Amino acid sequence: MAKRAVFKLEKITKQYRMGEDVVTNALCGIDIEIENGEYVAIIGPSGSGKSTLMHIMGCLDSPTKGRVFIEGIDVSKMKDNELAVVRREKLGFVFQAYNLVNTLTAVENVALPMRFAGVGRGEAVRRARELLKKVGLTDRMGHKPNQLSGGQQQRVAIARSLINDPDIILADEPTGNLDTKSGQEIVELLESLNRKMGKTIVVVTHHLGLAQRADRRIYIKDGKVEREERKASRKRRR
Amino acid sequence: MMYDMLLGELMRHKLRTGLTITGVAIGILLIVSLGSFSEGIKIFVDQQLAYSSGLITVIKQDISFEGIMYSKVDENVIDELADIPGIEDISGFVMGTTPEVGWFGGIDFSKVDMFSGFSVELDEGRTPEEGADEVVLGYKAAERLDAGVGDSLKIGGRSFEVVGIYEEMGTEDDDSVITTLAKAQDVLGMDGEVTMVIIKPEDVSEARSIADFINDEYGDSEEIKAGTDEDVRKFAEQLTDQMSAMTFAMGSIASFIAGIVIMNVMFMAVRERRREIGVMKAVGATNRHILIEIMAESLAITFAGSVAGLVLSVVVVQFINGFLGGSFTAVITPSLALESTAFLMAIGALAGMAPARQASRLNPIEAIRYE
Ligand SMILES: Nc1ncnc2c1ncn2[C@@H]1O[C@H](COP(=O)(O)OP(=O)(O)OP(=O)(O)O)[C@@H](O)[C@H]1O
Ligand SMILES: [Mg+2]
Repeated sequence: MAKRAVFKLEKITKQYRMGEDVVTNALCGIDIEIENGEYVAIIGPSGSGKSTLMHIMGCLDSPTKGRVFIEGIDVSKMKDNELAVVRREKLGFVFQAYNLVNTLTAVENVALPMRFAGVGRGEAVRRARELLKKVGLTDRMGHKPNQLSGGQQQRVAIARSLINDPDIILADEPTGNLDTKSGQEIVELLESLNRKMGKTIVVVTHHLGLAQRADRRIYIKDGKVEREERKASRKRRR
Repeated sequence: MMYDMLLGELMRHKLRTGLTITGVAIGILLIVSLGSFSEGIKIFVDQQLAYSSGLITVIKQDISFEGIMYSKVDENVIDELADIPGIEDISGFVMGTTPEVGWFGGIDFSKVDMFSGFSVELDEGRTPEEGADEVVLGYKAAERLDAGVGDSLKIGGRSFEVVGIYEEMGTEDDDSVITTLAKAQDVLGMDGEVTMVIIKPEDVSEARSIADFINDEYGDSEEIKAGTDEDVRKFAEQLTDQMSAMTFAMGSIASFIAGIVIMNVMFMAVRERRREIGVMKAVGATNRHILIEIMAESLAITFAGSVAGLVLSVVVVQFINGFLGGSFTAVITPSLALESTAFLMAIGALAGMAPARQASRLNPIEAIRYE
């Protein structure tokens, strides 16, 4: 696979302004480049700016300063609606709190981004079923989120992130609300997306196992990149 | 756009949705039932005018059109007025009700023809003869009283024989029992008096000036008032205008309240679905998707309310018509139903706008954080 940058962040800063002179510098000059097919873990203490960074990469938020390129396209100046299109076509997002729509069934939740892309219900549901099968929820398709365990909900969320077949999956502490065993399953699922389907994965995690299996670990502290670690070779590990 | 989701959302809050629908339904009910009266009056007046058109009517001076039942005019006036130049024909009739048969009237059968547009044909039998205790029935009255030619009816404590049945006329005469002038005067205790005098001018365009002449010359002395069908039409228009104004006022208030109810409910729905809306935006819904979703919900509620309101109106109007007893009927015309529904839908759209905008502008991250 040709190595090209799917993400390029240039001098990203993010300030939260609360009132006149209360300013939080959540990110202070971040430069990151992520290549196609990479599996990257972002690690750092609480409040260091990991989620803020993920939201900016996920086009859910825009930086105060700096530029974000996704597959070569500058998204930092895009309008709301253009960002919505980037979100549903180029990116899949997995949240710590799953963030499923409680009134919809598993299948409907998974189908949602495809429905927003203008695909008819029948086609979207068919594809959603396929994906739910892939994440091992064949017999939970019609369940509502509150009828599913945390691990199952997170698998629904992962299936949802895949529905429009994006190249990039962003996951913010996907195992944060899960016990060790279900956490492990999610870790393996994400890893297989990277290894078998070639998805670029960026994951924020405190989960040591998850972090260690990544190709690269980026340590964030106080809104800056503290250091990076690169796995020598993916093949050697096997 | 996502009808599947829409229905689910509305069904999730059955009580709330139901109450909102009821609010809208009451709005429609008010507009439609009041409007149906205006429509009914228009139709009623048109019917009346159809067979009094071009005629001059003479009634008691201080009586207005709606109190016509209480009009009493001295019979001798007929002979006096008959001499006025330009009059082709003149006739008086008596109209009243009796407890036994309801509408009961007396006319001069030899002059039936003078009512233009009143080309009355007998379905069966003949007209009553002078001096005989005989009646002829409108077709509705025949059905209502379950009487046919040869049967006898008690009227004013006396026995009358049914000698004929009229064909349908399309006016309230269909529901009347009619006899000769003299007999009706007798039964209704109106000896020497008629309810109304009807004059047919030689030239219809002279009707106004003849009526004015009668009012000037005889008005005060005989305590009578002459009017043309134009006067009746004007009066009716005044009445329907008043009804329309009232319908508009009440309808506006009802719609305004319905609009506020809808807006409130939609704001509530948006507030408690902040997280869901945020999630949808996070996974790729545009502002427009959300806007349309909330607007659609608002319109769906309004539409359901409108349909419920229309059904309710039909029931209520029918009930009221049953009370009125057939002389006058409130009518729900298709245009009334359509216009009031369209009006309420516009209210629903307006009411949904602000909540929909608010929802569409939610910041996905903040909405997701909100727990
Ligand atoms: N909406 C906001 N308004 C104000 N300050 C914010 C907002 N969001 C985040 N912050 C601040 O920005 C900083 C970075 O927050 P962020 O959520 O990115 O941290 P994090 O690394 O994800 O932490 P955690 O590991 O606890 O999830 C924190 O100091 C936080 O208080
Ligand atoms: Mg975080």
